[in-house]
Amino acid sequence: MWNQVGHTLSNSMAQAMGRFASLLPGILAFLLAVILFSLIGGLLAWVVRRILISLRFDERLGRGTEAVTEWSPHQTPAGLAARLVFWTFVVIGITVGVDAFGASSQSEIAVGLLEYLPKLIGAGVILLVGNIVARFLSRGVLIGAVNMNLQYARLLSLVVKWMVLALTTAMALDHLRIGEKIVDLAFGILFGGIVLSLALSVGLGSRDLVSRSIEREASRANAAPAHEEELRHF
Amino acid sequence: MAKVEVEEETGGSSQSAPQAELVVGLPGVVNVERVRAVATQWSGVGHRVAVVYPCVPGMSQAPETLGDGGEVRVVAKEIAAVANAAAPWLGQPAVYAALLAEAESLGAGACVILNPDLAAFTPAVVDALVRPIRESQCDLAMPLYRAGPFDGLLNQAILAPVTRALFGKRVRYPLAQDFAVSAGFLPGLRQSISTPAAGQGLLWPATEAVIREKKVCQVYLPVHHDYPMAGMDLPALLQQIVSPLFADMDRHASLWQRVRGSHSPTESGVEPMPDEAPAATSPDPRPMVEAFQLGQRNLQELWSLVLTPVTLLELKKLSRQPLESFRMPDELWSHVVYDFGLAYRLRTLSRGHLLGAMAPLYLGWVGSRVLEVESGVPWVPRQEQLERAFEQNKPYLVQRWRWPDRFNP
Repeated sequence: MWNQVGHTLSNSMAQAMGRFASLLPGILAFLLAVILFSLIGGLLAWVVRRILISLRFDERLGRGTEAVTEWSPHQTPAGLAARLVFWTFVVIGITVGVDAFGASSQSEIAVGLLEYLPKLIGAGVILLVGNIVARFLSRGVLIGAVNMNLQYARLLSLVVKWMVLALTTAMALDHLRIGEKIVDLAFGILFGGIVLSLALSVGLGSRDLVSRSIEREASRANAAPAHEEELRHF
Repeated sequence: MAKVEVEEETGGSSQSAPQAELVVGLPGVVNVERVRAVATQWSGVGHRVAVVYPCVPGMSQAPETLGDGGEVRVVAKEIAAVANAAAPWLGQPAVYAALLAEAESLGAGACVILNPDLAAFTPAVVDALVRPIRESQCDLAMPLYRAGPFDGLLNQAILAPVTRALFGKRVRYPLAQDFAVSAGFLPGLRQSISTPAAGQGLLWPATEAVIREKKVCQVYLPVHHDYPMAGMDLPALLQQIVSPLFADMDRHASLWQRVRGSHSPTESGVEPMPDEAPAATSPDPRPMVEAFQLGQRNLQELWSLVLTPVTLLELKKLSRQPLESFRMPDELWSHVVYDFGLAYRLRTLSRGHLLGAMAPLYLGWVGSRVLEVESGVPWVPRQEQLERAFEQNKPYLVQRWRWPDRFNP
């Protein structure tokens, strides 16, 4: 009996190894395509950056690009263009690699995983963009609220940040088709719950506090011009 | 009474125009009736004057010649420039460039640019500005306004100290909108605002004069401008004025790093007596100090991206001071301004956010200045002390600029 068990195990091991070995050419082709296109992308991005710098692209574009650089402050327009070129080639490399892998593989699991890969990339992009937007908006709200003399500036900024992140996560999960209806429902309940609880807390619980706060702000706003008139910033 | 003749040529062309010895440019929307009325006063002075103001393309009128001898011409020059919606009182580089080009094409010996509010549009003021240029004393005449301690605070806090420290010229109003330019400096100044990078910012005449090694002088003017700030919040104002200053700082980095010390330009005109300055009603410093303290509580995360640890610690200590003893040290303020200038260059934060995060710090400085003036400190020597502190701390800026990661005290 032990001989039969050992024989069965070695057979299944051999089959698994055989399947893995059959995937190896596809994996190699995938890696080769990604590396090759990344190298080409890197080279072209460098060329594009040099050309744009020599053409004084950033200066020529001027204010039109302020909106772009506001969202990604570390990047100049020329840098962004170079990065776009690089990542376009990386995505092309992945697409070509996936096609090469699919063509050389007969496994249903591998094919299924390959079909899922673009969705994973899409979800990653959604999360990345969501993170950038959340950070940008929360900073903007924080600075705006501080300059409006709102005492709860940090709270406002945190609420904005987490709402955008929650929305982004729900979108990414929806894109991946993970718990589609549950995510929709949970997100709707969460969002609705936040809005309802805020409305209730403002309307009932903190009515006096809010009215006092609004009165204070209004009296400040009325008093402000008197101080401002005496100051001439420019 | 002056006779008015209407010429047949359009406002846009100036090839057949007679030579003008002096061109007065008004870079904005002006009250044309008042321009005509004042321009008439130049007739009979013995030299040809052209008053040029911009008009929207397609809306030009024929130039008018005033005076019996045709000495004064009023020209509406077609200029396609996008008005600054947030701060229409700030001059547009495209308009300045067009006016300077017009002065060049007319062969003017000097060009006077005046604020379109026309507060300085009088023969006496124009003459005061042009005199040092005619007498070959300088190529650029900048104004010295009659100002009180709470006038032009942004100029006192940032523009004048930074310009002095960076470019070594003690120009009191580097962003003044009344100035005179000699014929020799006209092409250089026009070219400086014709580049794409400069076209987006503001015109800093004194900086351009220093870069081109032209002589600068200052003239006392009995003029006071009122800028309509209604509806404009402080972060927007900082964005409009300080952002171009930082951009200029970045553009000329290779030059100002070599400049050491500073010199006073020659001054002319009649210096106003202290009691001639506009009466200063002391504002309440409490809201400004509170705005600073609120910023200190909430903007730590953002300030720590821009400021050095020592500066952050100093600000923290300052925020705990009671109102009576709240004073922002000059060294601290100079480090704050320099660090924000560096962050603008490095894009540590998005630029809109950067200037917004600077607003509570600026209000802290204003609160400190108000408290000083209230306590009887004379503000003119105090301003000189602040500007000297910026100059003395320039090595800090140079080191931070060159090695932002390595030099982070």
